[in-house]
Amino acid sequence: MRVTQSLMFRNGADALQRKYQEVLKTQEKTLSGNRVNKPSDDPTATFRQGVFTSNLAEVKSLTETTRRAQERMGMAEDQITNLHDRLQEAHDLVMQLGNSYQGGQPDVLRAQAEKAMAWFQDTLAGMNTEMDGVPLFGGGRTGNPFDLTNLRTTGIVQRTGPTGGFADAGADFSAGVTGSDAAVPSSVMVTYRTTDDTGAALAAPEFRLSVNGASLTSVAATGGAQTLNLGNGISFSVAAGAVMTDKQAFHFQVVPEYQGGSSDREVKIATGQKVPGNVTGAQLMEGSTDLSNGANVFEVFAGLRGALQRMDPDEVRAWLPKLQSALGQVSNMQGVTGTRGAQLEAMGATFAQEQESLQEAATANVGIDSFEVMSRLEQATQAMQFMSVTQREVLNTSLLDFIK
Amino acid sequence: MSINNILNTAKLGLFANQGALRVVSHNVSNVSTPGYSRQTAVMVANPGLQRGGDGKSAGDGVHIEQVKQQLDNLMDRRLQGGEAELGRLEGRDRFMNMIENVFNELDGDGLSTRLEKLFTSIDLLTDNPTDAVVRDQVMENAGATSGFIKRMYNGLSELTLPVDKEITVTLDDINSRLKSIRDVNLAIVRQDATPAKALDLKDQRRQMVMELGKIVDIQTIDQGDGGVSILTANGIMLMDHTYAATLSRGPGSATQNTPQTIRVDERTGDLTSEIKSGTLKGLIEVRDQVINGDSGFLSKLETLADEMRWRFNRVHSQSVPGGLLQSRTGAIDLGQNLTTAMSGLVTDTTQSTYVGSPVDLSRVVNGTLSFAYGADPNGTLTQANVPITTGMSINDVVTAINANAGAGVTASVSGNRLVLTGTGGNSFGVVSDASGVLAALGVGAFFTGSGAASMGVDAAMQAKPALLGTGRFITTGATPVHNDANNEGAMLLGDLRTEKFTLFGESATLISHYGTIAGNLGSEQSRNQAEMTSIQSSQGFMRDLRDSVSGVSLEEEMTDMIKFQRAFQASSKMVSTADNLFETLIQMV
Repeated sequence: MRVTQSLMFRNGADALQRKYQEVLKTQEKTLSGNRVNKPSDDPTATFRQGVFTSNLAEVKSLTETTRRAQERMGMAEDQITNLHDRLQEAHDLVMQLGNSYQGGQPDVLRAQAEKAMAWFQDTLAGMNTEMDGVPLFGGGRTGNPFDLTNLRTTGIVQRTGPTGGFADAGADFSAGVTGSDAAVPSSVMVTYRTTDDTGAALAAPEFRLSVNGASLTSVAATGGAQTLNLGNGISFSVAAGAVMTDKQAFHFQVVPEYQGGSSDREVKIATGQKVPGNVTGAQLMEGSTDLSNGANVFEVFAGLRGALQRMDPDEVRAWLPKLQSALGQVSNMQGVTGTRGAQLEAMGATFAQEQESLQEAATANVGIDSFEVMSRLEQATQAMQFMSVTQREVLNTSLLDFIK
Repeated sequence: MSINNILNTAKLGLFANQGALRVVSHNVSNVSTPGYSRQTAVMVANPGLQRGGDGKSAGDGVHIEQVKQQLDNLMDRRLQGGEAELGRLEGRDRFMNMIENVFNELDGDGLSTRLEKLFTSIDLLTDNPTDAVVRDQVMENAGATSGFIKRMYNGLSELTLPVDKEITVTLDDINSRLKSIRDVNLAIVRQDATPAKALDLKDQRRQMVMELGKIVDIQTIDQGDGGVSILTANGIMLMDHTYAATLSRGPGSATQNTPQTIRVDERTGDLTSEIKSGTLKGLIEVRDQVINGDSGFLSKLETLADEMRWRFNRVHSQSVPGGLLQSRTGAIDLGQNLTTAMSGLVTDTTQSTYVGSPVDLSRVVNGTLSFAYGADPNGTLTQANVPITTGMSINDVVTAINANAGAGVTASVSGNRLVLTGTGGNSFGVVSDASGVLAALGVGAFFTGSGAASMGVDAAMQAKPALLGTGRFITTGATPVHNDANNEGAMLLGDLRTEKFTLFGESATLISHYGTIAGNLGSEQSRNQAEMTSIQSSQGFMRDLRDSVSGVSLEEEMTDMIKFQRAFQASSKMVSTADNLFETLIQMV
């Protein structure tokens, strides 16, 4: 093959140009820190990078939302623990005061009623605790789950005797409340009497009414269907034909009714996978789930307060089963919240690992190998220097120098 | 044999070698001339006249019979064919780099980054749907996402214009080149009719044809008189002895939204599809295949944007904001045909018969639309079910809502938008919409518009982020229940990040589909570059081969120069020797 000047020059220039392009590419990589800087550099890596980036963003997002949910759970757990502590205190109080010894110290009982009221108010405030403007136990609603403008009466129970426990009074007796009651919680005791305290027969049967330890004017029992007004919109109704015995006492409480949503916002932990959020006020305070015991915690505090205000150690003692039931219920909710919190914590740890792996994968996918880049750069620049020298020499080989 | 003969022979030697030196000089002068083919002087000995009967004779010196070009025509043709393909690839490369830049995500500032930010803010909203700050963030990120899609669309569609403009400029360039080649061709024909052949003009013509061949694929036919004809690869005459074609743009089809045609001498017909390679073909491919066309990246972006708008709207139109609403106006114009069945409406914006109907109506199916309404959003709500069929017109949908949900929700058309209003002071929300009609009509829309170019966020929602639907009605009981902090709607919006759907024959997530588009573009550009490198390499090799035959080697010319110089000197010596002979003879007298 004949070799010509232009052939040699062009080949040299082309080779130098290719090297320049290589150096430019290397410079681009070092400036960006990435091996791949545009889709055509490595289409597969580009696609994979998109997937990695998306996955990474998703994991970061889930990490953040689970962290926030965990904070919410943690805060809720604190409130439930407080509630449990208050119930435990109430339990200890019942154990301490619910015996005949205390019967001779009514003032002690009345004084402790204030403590029960404090527990009630503390619990009410705790149940309405907010985080980021949303109640912890509101179950998907932003209004207070419990307030004194939305009241309910608890189920009517009767005492089987002066020292007996509580039992369901049956369908012949009902209670109602309208409007709000400044005296909430109200603990109502209605006693049917045919004899007085000494055992002497009364002229006519009557109902003795007591609200929060304060006696109201007795109302004559008609023997038929009857509704008794206990003030503040509270009423007690007796159906026609209801069978009652002397000194049979009916008890019910007026407490705030849960008005939040049926369930809290769920927490997304993966695509299509969600874990429940916080327990709701209904589940915690009114026992509305399978895990609950059906206990109304406000009722326990209200009823215990009423019993203490009525200075009746036997009535105080009668609250023990309900108190234990409420304790068990709150313990269950504490467990549920703890489990969910732990689940979120575990998810958080998993996300952290996943994030690290994805970050590594993403970096490895498009990141530069500094050593390789430096080697290539060194190789290219050396080659260019060598080529420049060679070019000069090659193009200088001319017979012109020898022709005289 | 006389001394005169010697002198004459020497003189011929002088002339011949001088001529050869002139050829060498011409070669040396053109060492850097592109397309120059080196020339050689072909010397032929002059036969001597036979003298006497003994048959002994001496020659009569030398003459240059011809100056010959060192050429390999086959190689030249192969080189020309490669140039056309190289031109096509180079034409594509320039614009594909620009397109690639539109889709480049690797700098962390692209569509997927914005989409991720949007989804991340939506995820944060699931944590606290009532957080006004996060709602604002969602709106901001939604705006950034739709705005970026718009910018991408504009970036791509605006590329169409310069490409098309360049096609026109290229046609003008081809026209002037054809005329120049025709002029040179005519000069060659005239000169070739004389004994002096037009070697250098042929070189010039060859180079001009080569350059033209890089712009548009052509074939040349030798005419036998030194001239050539130039035709397109498909045989359309572009240049002949006195003819040079004029290429120009013809009108495109407005109804079919096609670009301007390419005409020859303003004749009817379109040359566009006849062009198979060259820079012009590269430009046409970029315009009609890479950017536009069914598989163009603009179409792909459009498809992706349409799917994204639909999916977001589908979820969002069935979600409820923090509170139930008294009124909601659709974000999408209902078009000019409210009485034709939805299934019969033209929803393809590229069709000439399109009259502005909501483009997503083509996705509506038969199904039930359910509303919940009541005076107190937190109280007991009533559910009303409205059966929707694709056989209904938009007006029929209005009628059906009023007939089935009129007690709680009234539908009307105002400002050519669908308006839903709570009846008698009722507030209302959408429980579900199996038909998708609300999403199609933009009621509770998240994104608005009829394509990537017009994509935006619902203006009412942007102005009042509280309208962002984050919840869903709880329908487990007898009547629907509304919780203002319910996050199911936000959760479902967030699920769109990982929801797979089929586009371009692939089932993948929104971001994966986008990644595939970017990857495809990268592959196409990578392939283009690889082919270009390969062709450049083979063209380089062909040029080397051509140079090895036709190129000028200075060393070779220098040695030739010495050779002819010495031969010239020797002939001069012969002259002085003959002169000496004459001198001797004269002195003898």
